[in-house]
Amino acid sequence: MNRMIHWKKWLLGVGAWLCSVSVVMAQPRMVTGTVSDASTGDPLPGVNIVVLGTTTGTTTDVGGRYQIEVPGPEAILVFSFVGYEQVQEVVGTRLVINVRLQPTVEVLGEIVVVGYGVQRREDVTGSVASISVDEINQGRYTSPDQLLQGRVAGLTIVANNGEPGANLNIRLRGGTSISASNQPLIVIDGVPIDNVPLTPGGAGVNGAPPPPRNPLSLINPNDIESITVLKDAAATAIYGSRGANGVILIETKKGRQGQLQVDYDGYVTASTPYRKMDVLNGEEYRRFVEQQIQAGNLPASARNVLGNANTDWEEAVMRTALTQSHNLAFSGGTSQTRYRASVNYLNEEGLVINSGLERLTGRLNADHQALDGRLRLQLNLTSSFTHDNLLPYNQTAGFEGGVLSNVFQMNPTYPIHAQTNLDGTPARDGYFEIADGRTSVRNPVAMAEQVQDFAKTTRSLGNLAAELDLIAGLTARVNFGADRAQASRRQYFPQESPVGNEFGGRALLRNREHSSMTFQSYLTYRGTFARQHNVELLGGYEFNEYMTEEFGVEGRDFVTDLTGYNAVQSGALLVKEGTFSYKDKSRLVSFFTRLNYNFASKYYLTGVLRYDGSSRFGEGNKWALFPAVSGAWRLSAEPFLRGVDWISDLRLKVGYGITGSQEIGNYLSLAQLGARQDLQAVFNQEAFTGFAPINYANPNLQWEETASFNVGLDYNFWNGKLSGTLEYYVKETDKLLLEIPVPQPAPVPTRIENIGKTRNRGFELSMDALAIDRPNFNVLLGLVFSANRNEVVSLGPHEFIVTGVVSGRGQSGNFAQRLIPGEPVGTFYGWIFEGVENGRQKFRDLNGDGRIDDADRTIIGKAQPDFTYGFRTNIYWGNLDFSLFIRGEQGRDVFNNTALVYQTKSAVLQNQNFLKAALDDPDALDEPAIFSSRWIEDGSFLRVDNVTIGYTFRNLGGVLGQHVRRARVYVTGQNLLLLTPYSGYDPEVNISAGLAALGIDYAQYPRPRSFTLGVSLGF
Amino acid sequence: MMQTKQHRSTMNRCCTYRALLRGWPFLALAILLGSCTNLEEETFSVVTPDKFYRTDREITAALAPIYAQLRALEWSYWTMSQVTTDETVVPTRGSDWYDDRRWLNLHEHNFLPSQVDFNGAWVDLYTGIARANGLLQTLAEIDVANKEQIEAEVRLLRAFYYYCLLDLFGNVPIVGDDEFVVDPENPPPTEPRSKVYDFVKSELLAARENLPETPPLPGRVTKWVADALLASLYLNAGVFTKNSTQINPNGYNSCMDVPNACQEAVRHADNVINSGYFQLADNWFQNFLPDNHNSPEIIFATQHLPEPGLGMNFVMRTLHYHQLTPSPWNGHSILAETYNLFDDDDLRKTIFLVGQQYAEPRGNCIGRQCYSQGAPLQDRAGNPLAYTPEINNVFAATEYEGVRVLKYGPDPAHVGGDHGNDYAWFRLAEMYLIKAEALNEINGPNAESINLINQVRARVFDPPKPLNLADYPSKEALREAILKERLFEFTWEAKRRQDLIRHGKYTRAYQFKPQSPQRVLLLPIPQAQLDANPNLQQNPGY
Repeated sequence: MNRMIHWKKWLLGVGAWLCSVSVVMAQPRMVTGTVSDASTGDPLPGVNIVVLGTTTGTTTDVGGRYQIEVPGPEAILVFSFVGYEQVQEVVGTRLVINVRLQPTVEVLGEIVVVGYGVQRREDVTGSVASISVDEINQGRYTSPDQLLQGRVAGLTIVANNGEPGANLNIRLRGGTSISASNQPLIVIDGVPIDNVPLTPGGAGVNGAPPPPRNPLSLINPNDIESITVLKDAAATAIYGSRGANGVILIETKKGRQGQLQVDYDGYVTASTPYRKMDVLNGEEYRRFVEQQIQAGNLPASARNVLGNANTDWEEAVMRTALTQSHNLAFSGGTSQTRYRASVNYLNEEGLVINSGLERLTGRLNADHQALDGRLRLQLNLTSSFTHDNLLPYNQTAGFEGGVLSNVFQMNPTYPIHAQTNLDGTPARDGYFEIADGRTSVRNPVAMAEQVQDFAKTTRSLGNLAAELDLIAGLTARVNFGADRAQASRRQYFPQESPVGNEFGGRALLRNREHSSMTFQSYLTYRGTFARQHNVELLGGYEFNEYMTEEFGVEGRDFVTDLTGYNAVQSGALLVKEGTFSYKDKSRLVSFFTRLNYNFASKYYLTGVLRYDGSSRFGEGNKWALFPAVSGAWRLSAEPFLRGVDWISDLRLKVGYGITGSQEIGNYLSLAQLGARQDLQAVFNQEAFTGFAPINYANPNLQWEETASFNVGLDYNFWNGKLSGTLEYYVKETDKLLLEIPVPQPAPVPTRIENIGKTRNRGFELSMDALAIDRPNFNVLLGLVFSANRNEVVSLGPHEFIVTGVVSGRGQSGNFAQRLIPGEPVGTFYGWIFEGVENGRQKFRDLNGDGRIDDADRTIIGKAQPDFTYGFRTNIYWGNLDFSLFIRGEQGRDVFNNTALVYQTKSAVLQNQNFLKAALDDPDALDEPAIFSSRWIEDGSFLRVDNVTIGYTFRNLGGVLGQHVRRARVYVTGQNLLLLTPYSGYDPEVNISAGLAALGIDYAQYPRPRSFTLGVSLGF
Repeated sequence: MMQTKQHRSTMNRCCTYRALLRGWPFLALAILLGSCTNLEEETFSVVTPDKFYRTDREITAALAPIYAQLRALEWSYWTMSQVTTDETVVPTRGSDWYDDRRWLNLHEHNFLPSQVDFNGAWVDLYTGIARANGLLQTLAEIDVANKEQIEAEVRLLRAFYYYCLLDLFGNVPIVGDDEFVVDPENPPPTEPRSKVYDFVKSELLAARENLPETPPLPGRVTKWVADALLASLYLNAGVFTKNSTQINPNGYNSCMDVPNACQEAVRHADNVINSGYFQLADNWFQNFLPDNHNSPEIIFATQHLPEPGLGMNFVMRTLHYHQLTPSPWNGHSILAETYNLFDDDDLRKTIFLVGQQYAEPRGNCIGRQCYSQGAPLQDRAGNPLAYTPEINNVFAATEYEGVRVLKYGPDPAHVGGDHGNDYAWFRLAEMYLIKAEALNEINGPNAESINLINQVRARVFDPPKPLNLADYPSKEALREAILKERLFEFTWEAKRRQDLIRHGKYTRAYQFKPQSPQRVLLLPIPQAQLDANPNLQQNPGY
């Protein structure tokens, strides 16, 4: 019936048109009509309509209707609208021209993953940056964080050092917190990941545990489809209590409909040290000792402790490290069921001998549709197995050091291998040592090769989601995720090594188990009212539970080194110090809702509320509400910009919201009694267990609150040839969780309180340009720039807090930094170096009292940069592709703790080597190493991070062509060039040297320069 | 009838089902909200106090940490009492022991409130007090066997921590008089030193009443510990009741300034001497060897085991890197001028390492016996490792300068840096010398005082070298002799600072220290504590 009527109308229309042709010819007249979306049928307001070749133009009204005067039947009307294909219509004799615009493919593709859902790029009102795999240089990546480095304005990612799998320091728009974590929340396929260190701590050579490992390395970068970074509160408030540091959403690749596709990606990488630290060689060292003997600074007997060798210890522990990675993925599916499965093997050698990691990752993603597509099921499963071969080194080693500090201090006149030690004792295992045990300086090659330190981590992450369209526009989704990791650490310090000798061999075994469970259920409603009012309403509930368990056993005094940690019972002594277990658990419960509204795709408004409850906080403070509101105004849709045709899109966004942080330990609001080893008493020559308060309970503990304001401009000119974002933000963090000394007597000296305030203000710019766009030649340019100003606003009762532990011999109790209200985190504080006078270092007497003491210390530098930038270009020329990625930071200081300790000639008094630069220093031979502005260096840098050249074989002929869909070969160079005035290995450092300490470099594991040859094949 | 009933019941069941079917989302939601908004914290490896302190064993476990904290004082209280005197100096050797100049600052009396060591000492002491207060508060509310004795034990330990605070910082807050916990809103104010003195005194006297004569377990405190502490407290009454501005920096601060204090010092020393539980060890070294828990002379000691964290690390502080495995720290030395005061015939001088050192340490030894055989050792720069008394430049010393103190001999069974020697806070010998000193104040030099000193000397001189009354015509002369005797007897036993202040010699100049101002008679209140507690007052002069 209906169809019949349509036909009739159409026929009538055609008849009317035929009849009217002759009447209206060649006269200006009015044409009217409606413009609608071809896919939805909805009317489109604001569509640009011009008469081709004239200045006559108009736009559609809110109902998509328009009226325009045309000169005659030969006139051509051009209908254009952002996000839609342009349409041209010859008017002819028509009086009514209705047009249906097809959305452009690009815009359809610009779907951004946001918290608990997806949005069209243009509907996003918060500050969101997204990266899809296509944008990423086709180079070599071992972990997903490397895909983000330098690509998102405001996001800095610094690996602690160059050790394979080293931990990361991820900061978005500066750190908000001082005591609590500053790491953004990471959400993989909708499941928030508890980004805790999985690898159990070990006993370092000097007791300090080596740094934690990168927990993100469980994700195979080849499995990543897109990464989205939510920056401001408008975007992150939906994650409430965990949104303060930003959110990183990672979506993994899903299967696509079609026949089976097989993809192989593989590469081989060779890495070498980027830079060498210049210490004295054997000859130079002998010459220096001789000079000092002549000068009377050393006794003649100093010759007796010299060796005859000429060993470059740095070279002896470094190598050309090889890495190989193989990735195989299958995908395919029908219209109902799609799947993708992948497996990755990575074997990465460390630059330092006897270190590296091996990893096997498997993933299966599948989805299925039922009930005519109304029910959608999705399964994502991944499991990874990592085997770390760890190097015994510490970042904050003191008097005794690990492999890397011994590289600097071990005398170059000593051999690596020998029959006897310097003190005449027989060399164990053939390794030369100064003495058999009684020495703090040790053969670094022996240490690297003798000490066994392995970590194995198995982590499985899975989620199952079901989505059901209930009624038109209303969708229910349930997502259940589980994340379980088991990690073990095994260490053995053999008797043969001076490190283990003092214990008669020492074995440590530790196992940690971490599990988390997530349940989410939410309803989403999408609808359009009165044609103009587009609404999306979301409401849901989430439950998270986290549990960690660990136990450790330590044995010493072994009969033989042969069994090591594999037979800890063969140690005569089981030591309480390393024998322990613990378990803790926490919960997070949340209700959340979000309303997205837009009027005519011109005015946007988003409101978010999240109500979070955390078990970590005190009774009465467990729940908190996190609101955010944001809006956007699409300027380009306004009449006054309508005529400016090079402006394709221009949007102004403003948002304000409150987010929180709960990243502190468990149970801090409770009074706890614990049995620690140092609480034991000895009575009657026996150890008695002690239970005592191990914390100072704070029942009033509550969330850290970050209020953030963001204003931004999204621009798109010349149809995407130039696009990007400009943003300004202010983030204020209040109720800072800060550890403060409590009035004594107290069972522990400090407790966590909600005190203090920090502020971050900043400006961000991102720009993408399609500089050349020809059929066979494309040049893409990308730039990100950001400048953040961090400030500690208040520290409660503290005038300042000292931090930034200075490492090395003779440095205990010394700090390089202070947190001071009014100054940024990472402010260096110390004496001002004024030169060397009569062999002694002189420092500025600020208060002129004739003494150099605490009162003469002042601000001598800042670790946070003035600005950071990243530049990339991708060039496609036929089958060739080229990409270049440069990033840098400007206006930042680094404390070269390595130089402080090792660029000191006094080391020769202890028969230790030092950096050659010290030879030119006028310091007396017995002048100690003293921290001052002398060791604060400009750490600005520009790094050519990645250069890749690739060639893609298309339409391969012959038998090969029948099987191979695509093939690409590429070479990548990483860390090719580092421009910096900094004199150490690398200015990009992050050692954990105390509360919120930044920019301290001490005997780090060097970053390599690497070359990769890779191939990807599609079948 | 029956049929209808059945029918109805079927109907009902069907409607119940339907209602259930219709209501299930709400039911599910209700269950979900009920169980899944529970944010109660579950503890596993720690316990909350409301579930503890129920059995005798739990009470002993709560007592242990109060004792355990004494080990911390062997670093912090000890450092304050040693390194700020002419007994101990930690020279900077190359970069070693520079440590932001803190060791030299301590030695030169450059006391800055911000120096971490002062805060360390303060926190160590008050942590012990907080643990004691916590247990006392619990004991007040529960019933356990021997409650009074345990209470007395805890109060005595707490009094000891306060005694150390009284000694180092003087004017400190007192918590535990009527309140056991600190109200963070209204933290405790500084109390004048005389009030702290009174508090320590009354606590010790009260605790003494309920303490046993023999310890429940060796290593725990007895009545005699209270007496020893009281004897020392009274002897120092002329200092402990005064603020730093009132102490005579250049003359003896006698217990006679405080009514009856000297007499009380004698009485409490006598309590110990006459208790019948202690006697001077025939072999003086028995007090310091790894098996010194067997010494009959020790009144109050922290027991140690050669186990990680439970041992004593004094040998590590002083020995050269090449003298032990693991490598010691080559730090603490005695000043030449102090070393030279020792009589060559005094056995007690053998605790010092001087001259060439040899490779093989003997088992169970003390001082110079230990490194007298095997190959000669060298320092790291290739010099012979021969310790010299003189330190030419304390800011730039060589590795071999400075005589080392090996009073607590290395334990052959040591594990890492942990040695099993017990650390004695009070020995019977001190009761003899306290009594002698107090008697001298009361009566001037007499035979009884000389006799007491000679008993202490008898075992360390062969042939004997007793003091003669005739050589000490004045109080001053005998005081001088007693101060020296205390130096010889108690080197490295953390007595020197207290003794020098009492004798008015703490501020005088010596080799590496100019004359220091009067303020140093009390240590500065740590800056971190002033920040945390606005009711605290800095000591005069800082």
